[in-house]
Amino acid sequence: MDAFTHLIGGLWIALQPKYLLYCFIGCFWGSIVGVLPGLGPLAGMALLLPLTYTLDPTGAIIMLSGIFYGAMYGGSTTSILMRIPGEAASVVTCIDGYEMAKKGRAGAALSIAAIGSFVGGVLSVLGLMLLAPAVADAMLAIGPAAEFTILATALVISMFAATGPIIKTLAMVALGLCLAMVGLDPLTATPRFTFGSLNLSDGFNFAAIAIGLFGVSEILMSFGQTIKDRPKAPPLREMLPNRQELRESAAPMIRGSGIGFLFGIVPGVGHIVSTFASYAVEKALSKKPEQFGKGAVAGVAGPETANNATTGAAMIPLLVLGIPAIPVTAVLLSALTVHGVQPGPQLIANNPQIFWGLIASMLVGNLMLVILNVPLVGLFVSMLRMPYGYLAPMVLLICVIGVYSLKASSFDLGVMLVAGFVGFALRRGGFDLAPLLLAFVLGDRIEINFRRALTISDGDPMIFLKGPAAQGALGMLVVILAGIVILRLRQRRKAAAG
Amino acid sequence: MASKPWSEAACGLGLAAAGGFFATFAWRMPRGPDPSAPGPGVAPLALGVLLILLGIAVAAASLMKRPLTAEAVEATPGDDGRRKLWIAAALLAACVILFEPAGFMLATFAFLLAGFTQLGGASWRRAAPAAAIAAGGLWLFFTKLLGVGLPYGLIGEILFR
Repeated sequence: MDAFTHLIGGLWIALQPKYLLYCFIGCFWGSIVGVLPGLGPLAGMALLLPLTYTLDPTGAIIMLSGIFYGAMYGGSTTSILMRIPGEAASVVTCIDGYEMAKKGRAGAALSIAAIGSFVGGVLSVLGLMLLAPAVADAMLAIGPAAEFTILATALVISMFAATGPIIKTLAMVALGLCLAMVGLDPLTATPRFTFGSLNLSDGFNFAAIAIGLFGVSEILMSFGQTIKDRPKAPPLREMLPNRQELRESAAPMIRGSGIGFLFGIVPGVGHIVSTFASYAVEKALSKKPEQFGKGAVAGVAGPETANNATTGAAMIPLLVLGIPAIPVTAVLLSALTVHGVQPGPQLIANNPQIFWGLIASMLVGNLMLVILNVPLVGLFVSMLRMPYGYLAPMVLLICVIGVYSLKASSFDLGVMLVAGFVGFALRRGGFDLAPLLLAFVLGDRIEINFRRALTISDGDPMIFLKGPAAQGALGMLVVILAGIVILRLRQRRKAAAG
Repeated sequence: MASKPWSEAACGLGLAAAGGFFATFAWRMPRGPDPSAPGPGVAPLALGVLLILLGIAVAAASLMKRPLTAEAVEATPGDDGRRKLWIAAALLAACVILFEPAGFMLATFAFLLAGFTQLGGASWRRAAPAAAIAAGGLWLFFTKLLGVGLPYGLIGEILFR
């Protein structure tokens, strides 16, 4: 009952006209960045980051979160209409969503995706609301050693969840941690890799790195793709699914919510894994698995629900532990830090209006999106019909403006440019960039806690294994790694048998 | 996506070089009196060495791979894609370098004009007004609506300030 009382208070905040406006701006812009190939939620959030500096912390986090789950909605539009995922988590929706569109059921597919996203979003927010305060209470007692262990566990899990060989992922983590160390040492203020430069004394700007690595490199990568089909918007009267399709969607939506929520809590795993897991589960449970790949409704409903359920769950490690589970939540962390709000166990106690206002806003925002996305399909399709040769320069320019607007620094533009080229080269070399960004974000805190813990223990490394929090984190690591290893072994056996 | 062995090897060597850079300069930093008080140089030195080893391992592993399959070769961009890629990269670099000296309006107009013609295949007559309108619209949106400061550039400073 306590949680619901707080939720009512949160709704009182979220339904204020200015916060409704911020939520709408975030959802609308998020839908657009989700639709546009090349601009994912991370770049979209980083671009609006400067705008949020003029807002209060509650407004800032509401707007940025709106972009986050708005982009999850928007990404399904291009997947269904063009078989091109608007953002990475919508890859799975391409499989059956596009097939439904080919059968003339594009409108139904878009509506099922929107409804599933709403269901997943709402259920995950309820889970966030119930679990987060309990986890926060448990986290209040931990010290630097346990915090280091938890952060390191999060990084290790994200390494195993990333695509590609483990050796490449480890290299990305090492590079990210090295980049995090550029600037003044947080404990002794010793300059590290600054070479006398004032710009480097502050370290690399997170948004410049993020937009370069994910935004600029994505545009450069996209020049290899050939877009043959010009999408058509389904008429409004054909937008609704029929009764049969709704019946087939119900159970996948419930299962997708659970799968998405569980994967969202685990750092580094994120939307892509949850959507693939949901697809695999639906196919395994279906009475007609042969329909998958040919327009199965469950193949759209389950993954899209899981996609948005992951969003709410990913907020738990961010808000309660201060750990960005996925790169996108690192932008939220950055925004909160700029406003002087430190996410972590104290957030709920010290800034309840931010926490409960955000939760209530996510409920409102999910409702806004399911209402927005159906009639706005025509607008999104007209954007997609623009030739990529015109779209790409516009998106690159928005990246430049977005980064420059942070500190009016041409140095940051240079960082973005170099990060973009390096990101492109690494992606061509088959490297996954997500662990690099996560390591970059967590690097400072990992090092600070490591050094503090060793000082406390007088150099005894066993301190990292003591205490329930550290042992709990290690236990979770063992369970998740075991699960990943088992899944990979099964995949290899299937591939060998096939 | 499948990657060519040489691009993986180049990335591996690049990572090893980056590791060497970090390790070299971290060696000159204070590493603390004993393990109970690690200094600022410890972590970057360890990570730099790790990056060297991993980079070499990635490069070595890629050179021992099998040749690409036909499917993987198709996934790499063709001549036109590669040409546009180089053009986009060059235009972006030029825009970044000239953004402050030339000012937002001039740099943006030139970038979009070149982008629309070289990447979009538009004629100069159609691209020029589109670039001008887009540059003006973005200026209004970011400076007036979002309150973001954008550079006037040397010419703009002389004429308008």
